Amino acid sequence: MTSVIDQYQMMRANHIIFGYRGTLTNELITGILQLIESKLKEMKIPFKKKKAIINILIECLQNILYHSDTDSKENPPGIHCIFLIGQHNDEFFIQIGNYIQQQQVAPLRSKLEYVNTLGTEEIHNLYMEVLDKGQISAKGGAGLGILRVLKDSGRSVDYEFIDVDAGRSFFSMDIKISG
Amino acid sequence: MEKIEIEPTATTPKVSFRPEEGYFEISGKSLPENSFEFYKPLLDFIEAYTESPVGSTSLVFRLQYFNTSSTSHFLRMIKKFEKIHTDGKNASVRWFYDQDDDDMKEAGEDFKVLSKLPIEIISSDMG
Repeated sequence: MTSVIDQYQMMRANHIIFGYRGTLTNELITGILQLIESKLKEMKIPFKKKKAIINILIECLQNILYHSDTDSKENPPGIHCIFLIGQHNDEFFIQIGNYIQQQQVAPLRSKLEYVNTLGTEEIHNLYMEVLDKGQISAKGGAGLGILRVLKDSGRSVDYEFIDVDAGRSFFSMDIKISG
Repeated sequence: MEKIEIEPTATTPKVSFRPEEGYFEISGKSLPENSFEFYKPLLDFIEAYTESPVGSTSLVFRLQYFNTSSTSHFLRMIKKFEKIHTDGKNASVRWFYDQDDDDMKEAGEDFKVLSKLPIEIISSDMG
């Protein structure tokens, strides 16, 4: 059995402030946001950085709801994910992981490869272009989430796709928030 | 037209639409799981209003947080009000932001670029 102190030391060594593994709903996202907001206030994080972290959290967590494979083959049924937030050397990081369908991998990888090449102004221009076109997906997404993440983090995102089985991949993202 | 008053929830904003006064306000937090479901009826309401608006119409936003899919609907609302402006009547937007919230200020400025409607970006102490 892993002792509680081992878990504590592992989280401390990995600089994790908060971690969640399990099913995700919009109600839970609300709870997570309140908790993180409260923690950032306690840590006296400046308003601008606090806003950036919360904005990124909203987009990342809601993207899990929009795009996850709902047939995760885990129990209980639902959208399963992992979410971690931490701080190391004055830099916050957010790590998320969730199951997606194999057919989502190629377009998502392509999109992330592309947006990661963009500079600040290019991200803003693309954001304005997509916003102006105003297309809303069936689930309510506007295609702007990743652009906001890039804008608010101030840098490119790290990501990985790991094949789980023929139908599913595990997608993870590591976002570092500068300054 | 009847007014719309929707109380805020943890994920949806307070909505106060008073067509007889030409006053339309959205405030608080906007993070609905499906923004289309939440905003479609409001957009339909606005569209109906723009067919015969009162003399002066004001769309007011006082927001703390919103997800990007909400942004898309806010722009749709603003663009629907452009009809009033084009038809020769008064319509304008007031976009409030907390004095520390540059992000919210920039969001208002983005709408200003994308819309023909007069948009005033106003700093306030939102507590």
